Amino acid sequence: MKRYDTQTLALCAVLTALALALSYMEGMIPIPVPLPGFKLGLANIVTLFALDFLGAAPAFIILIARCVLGALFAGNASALIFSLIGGVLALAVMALLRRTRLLSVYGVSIGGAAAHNLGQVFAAMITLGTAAPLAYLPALLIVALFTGALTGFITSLLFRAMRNTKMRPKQKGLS
Amino acid sequence: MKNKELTLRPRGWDAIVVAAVLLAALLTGACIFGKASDKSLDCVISVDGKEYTRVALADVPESGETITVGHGYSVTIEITPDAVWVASATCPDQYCVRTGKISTAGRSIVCLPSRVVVELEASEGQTDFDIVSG
Repeated sequence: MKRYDTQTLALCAVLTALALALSYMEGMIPIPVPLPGFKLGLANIVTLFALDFLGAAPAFIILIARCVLGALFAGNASALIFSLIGGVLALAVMALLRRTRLLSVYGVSIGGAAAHNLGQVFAAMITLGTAAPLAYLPALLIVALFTGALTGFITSLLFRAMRNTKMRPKQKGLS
Repeated sequence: MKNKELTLRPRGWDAIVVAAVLLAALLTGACIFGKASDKSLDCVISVDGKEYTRVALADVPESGETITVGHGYSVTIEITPDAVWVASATCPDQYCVRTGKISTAGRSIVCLPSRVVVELEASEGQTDFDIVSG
């Protein structure tokens, strides 16, 4: 078991709260496209940030905590499977893409958004027991290009802002 | 280490991710909607705005089925499991014959002089999955 120092632990807690707030806030933004499962994926900003700043393991913990707490607050158990499958798939793809060292935040973010939407479609197929939700996949993938670019842009702003603080990434061969 | 951080500006390699996602969208789109066309379709024939008959393409024999309808002029419609077309019509403009074969949901053949509309509709009874959202 890896031990985290106080700063990392506090940062994880703050990021979990931020991710929760973002995914809650997202529900209040009206979306003009009538596409089920279409979300901006603002919480993905936190995942991507945590992945790069803290490493894959803390990012995973934050993700799980966000999904479980989010489902708990929303009182919606079926939302848990959607956000878990989508979130874990997004994290896995982003961790892989990041390791290639070839991509910028934008590429990683777009890959993550696409993986997230793919996971949502899978979750819908599992809960409904039919392949019908697949029909939404092409549209959701196209949409992921834009939402991914948007979250990538916001994440890049976040990283720029973080450079002006005293906090520095803890990169000791993580991920 | 600084060099472990992600680049903040878009790089050329990002285009590969974009291309991959686009390709995946196109491929899944082609698979799903290519398959959807040979899924259960209904051929709906209306005369004078009223539904005259509804034939499920799946129930049509391989040799095809011929239906002759019309209001004033008569239109002979051929229905096979794969496609629907107007084989002949006594109307003066023959637009319906020249429309040719239709085979996907939403396509239609219209013959104005005889007031015949032939439409292909996706059959009822598909699962409603719009009610669930994550």
